[in-house]
Amino acid sequence: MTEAYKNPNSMPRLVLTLFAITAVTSLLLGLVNYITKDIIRKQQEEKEAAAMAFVLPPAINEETGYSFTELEYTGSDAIVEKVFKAEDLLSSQYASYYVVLVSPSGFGGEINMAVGIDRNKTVIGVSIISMSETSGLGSNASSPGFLNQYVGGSGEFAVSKDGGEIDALTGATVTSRAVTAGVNSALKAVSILDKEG
Amino acid sequence: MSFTGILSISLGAILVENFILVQFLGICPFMGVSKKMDTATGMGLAVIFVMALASMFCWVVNEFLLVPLGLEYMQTLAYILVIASLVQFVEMFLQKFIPSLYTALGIYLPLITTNCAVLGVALLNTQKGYNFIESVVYGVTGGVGFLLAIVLFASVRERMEFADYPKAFEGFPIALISAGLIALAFMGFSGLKIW
Amino acid sequence: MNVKKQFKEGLITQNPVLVQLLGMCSTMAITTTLFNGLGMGLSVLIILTCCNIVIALLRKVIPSKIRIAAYVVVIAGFVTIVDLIIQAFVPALSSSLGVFIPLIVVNCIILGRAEAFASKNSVGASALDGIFQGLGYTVVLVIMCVIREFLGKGTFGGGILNGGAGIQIFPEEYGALLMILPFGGFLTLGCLIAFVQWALRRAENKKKEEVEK
Repeated sequence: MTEAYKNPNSMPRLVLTLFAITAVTSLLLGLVNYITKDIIRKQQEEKEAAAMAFVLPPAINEETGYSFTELEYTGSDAIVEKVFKAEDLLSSQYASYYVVLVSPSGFGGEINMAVGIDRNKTVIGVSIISMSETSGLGSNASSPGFLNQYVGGSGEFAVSKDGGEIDALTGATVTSRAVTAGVNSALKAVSILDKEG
Repeated sequence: MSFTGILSISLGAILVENFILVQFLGICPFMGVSKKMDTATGMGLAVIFVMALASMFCWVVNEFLLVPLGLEYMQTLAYILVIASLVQFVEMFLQKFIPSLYTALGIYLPLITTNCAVLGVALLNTQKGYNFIESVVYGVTGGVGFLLAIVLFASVRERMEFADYPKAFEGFPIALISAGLIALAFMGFSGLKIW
Repeated sequence: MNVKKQFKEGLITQNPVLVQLLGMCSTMAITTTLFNGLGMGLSVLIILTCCNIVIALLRKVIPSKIRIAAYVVVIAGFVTIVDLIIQAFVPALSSSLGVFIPLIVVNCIILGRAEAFASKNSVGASALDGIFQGLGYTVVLVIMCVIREFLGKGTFGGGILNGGAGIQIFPEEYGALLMILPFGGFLTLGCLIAFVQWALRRAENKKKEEVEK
């Protein structure tokens, strides 16, 4: 073994060196992951909560805000992640809305977004939680000018290129279609729930 | 997996989201080995081969090793190791069993390890949540898109030898600008869609 | 160790992007706003310096047969660490650079410098090389961003200044959107390299003339 180790090109030496480097690297990675894991998760939760609050009208009582209850989604649409019922319990006129988290596939992976829908199945707000679309083009999808096109509408949306009413983002048809598909899926998910009561 | 689904992934990978001209992945070999038509074709074929294998193996590693063990953060490290050893293995295999193919493709193989299109396809498969078949289709057609782009580009570059352009643009700059013009042409596909 | 020479090489005469023609994927793909360019440049600078130091330290331990595999592991390790840190503390950057952060692993600048410099030089010199080559890369990215952002959207400092929107220099609708698209990346980089080739050649000719005199 020691003899073999002295020769830099012997098999055991090669394997051992590579193994040692990989092991040290993995250990270091584990350590960094351990430190950053909670921070990353917390940040995502905060972003999700912020987006969910953003798509609803301001709560009457700002401190307590809305209470969210997750509803079971029974449909088969893979784009729909979670469906929440948001209730403003403190308000004198009882208000309840739906918030649907959807993740359609865009140009560079999934686009995570929240869609707020009221009881008349009208879109009241759309917000993007995270995406990895091309910066300067697809990433413009988070601009209010684009997202507000959905607000107040219901039924099914389509991009103007496909004969609909949504003006696509310049140079980012794929992203615009993905966001539109996300909103449509959210509306469908809510209408399924409504039928069930 | 429906036929239209596969068709739309393929069309997307070859034309709409072409790895080189739209997503900017794999520019180095695209620029490096596109001076001659035949070497460009060789490189393109080698890339299709490795991208298909890489999509396959990385999917398996991710699904059966990283996800169950909760090691998703090691993805980059695991994928690059898979790709590097894959390339090494393919090289040895070809050398031993199909020497004619080895002499044709051999010199391109080591270059592929650092081709970001290969690591890119593996990472994108995971990010898009593709299943096994979809991943392989994306890998193969992504490679076909690479081949298409590099062959087109090589034929443009061969003609460029006789072209007259400012001396400062000699070599790389003029190549980059002609690649840009091809990218511009590919933008025409961006509205393409299959339902 | 020659600090001045290394500085000049990293920034101009051996600039990783403009002269060595390395790492072009990211140079063209992400240079659409100043924020992206700076973020990417600094990430690469840090990773490159760390990798250079580690590889210079290990240069006598790693047998040459497996050196590429060993370098790749070291690089992938640092890239993942930086990726996790960016995700935790600068999530905006992580979402706008997307897949291009993990792809730093195959950025040829890092493997190229490991092979060409760090594997043959002392730790100190390699660290300096990492810093200066990284600076050279960052400077090119920033120049590309400023040009593309200005011509494409009429803004300066997108993602950083003015609450992320950037300072509007002329109205956005007059911008040539083409500059933000892939074509703009190829065009801008092509012109930049052409300019450097022209400048370097001119400097060389001048030197020659002086020698002849």
